[in-house]
Amino acid sequence: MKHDIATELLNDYLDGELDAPLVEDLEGHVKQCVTCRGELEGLRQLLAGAAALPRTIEPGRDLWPAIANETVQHQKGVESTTSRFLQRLGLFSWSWPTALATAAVVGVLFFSSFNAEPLVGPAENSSPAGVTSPEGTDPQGAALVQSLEAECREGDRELDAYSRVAPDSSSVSRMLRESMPVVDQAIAEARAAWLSSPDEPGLARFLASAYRAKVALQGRAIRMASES
Amino acid sequence: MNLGGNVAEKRMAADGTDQAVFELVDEARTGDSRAFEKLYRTHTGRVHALCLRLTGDPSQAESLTQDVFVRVWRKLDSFRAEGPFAAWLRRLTVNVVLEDRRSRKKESRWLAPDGDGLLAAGAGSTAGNEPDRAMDLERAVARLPEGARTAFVLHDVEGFRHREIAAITGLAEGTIKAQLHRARKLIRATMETTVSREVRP
Repeated sequence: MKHDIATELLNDYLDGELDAPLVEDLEGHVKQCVTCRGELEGLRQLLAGAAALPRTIEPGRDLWPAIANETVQHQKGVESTTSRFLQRLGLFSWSWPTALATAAVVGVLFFSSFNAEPLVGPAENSSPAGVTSPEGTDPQGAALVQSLEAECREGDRELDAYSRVAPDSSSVSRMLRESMPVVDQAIAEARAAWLSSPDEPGLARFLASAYRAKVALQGRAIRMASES
Repeated sequence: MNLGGNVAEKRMAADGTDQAVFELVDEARTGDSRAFEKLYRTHTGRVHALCLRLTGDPSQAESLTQDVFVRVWRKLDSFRAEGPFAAWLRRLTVNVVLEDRRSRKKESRWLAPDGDGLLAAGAGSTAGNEPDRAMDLERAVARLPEGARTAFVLHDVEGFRHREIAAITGLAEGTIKAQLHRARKLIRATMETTVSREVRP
């Protein structure tokens, strides 16, 4: 191999980009060429130096306060948008349970923006809890969903018990129960998406988020019902 | 032999697919800002180092680091738990820096920032035996033209492969290789000049 060709190939050689025959030719040349040996050694030192550079360099100041502020502003923006959306639907007046319900709905809307096909249709009237998990690639997500489904079933039983003892015990608990169908719709749609694409790991966790919203809503409803 | 690949594998292994990180991500997804702050504290040095090396400008690097974490907060739902969070974050960081660069529409320059900012920001404080050499290297990297600096930082420091860099930057793989070879040549020339100045009586 000629010297000027060998010089051109040294970088590719170190990057593992050369085919075996060229590697052989180049190594043969390098053994005999002092200049190429020096060049190769220099490149090796440079690459070793680059790989040894510190992995972390802390910023000169704490950036967290500014980041936290921006994330709060972003969160407020999302809540404001969803509030307007639900008010237009006329479902119920804006309150904290609404925030929980809308979080789930917005999640569904967010998810649907990534999918070309529309999500499955209307929510079921009954509780969506208690579905068989599909065979998927996210067993942790599936286990989380099953655990939250069990929590939801327990919550449903408690709420049923309260409603038998004191039906419509207060306007607040009634309002919470009105919010539940919205969360259930989010769960039904997230679940339908998960069942149709069980290999998409994010979907199980997405469904789990919707279930968490329901568990929180149930907890609040139970506390208020018990206090009334 | 593929030095870039080896570096990438070592660094990915160090980042790990830590279950604790996945749990923090899950909690942060539900709006838990304390979980997100933990993610920030764990990864900020890594993100900042990458921003600093890609820009060569400490002030810009801090601003971009902030942008990265705000973007992370907004995009946590798109993180898929089958890969390391650190790898996802690294890719997102590169995208944020390159987007910022495009928006600034800066032209490539041979002598951009002088690299002293990197030293002021604490770069070069290696645990190895040659801190001076590491500082010289950081300074030489910061002085590279933008394209060459990007190729060098992403390939030789971060361990991305040529085709990955081509995909991120939208440039041809051949262009990336040419930029990388140019970067190595310039860095070596800069460092040799530095050494010869120091040796001169």
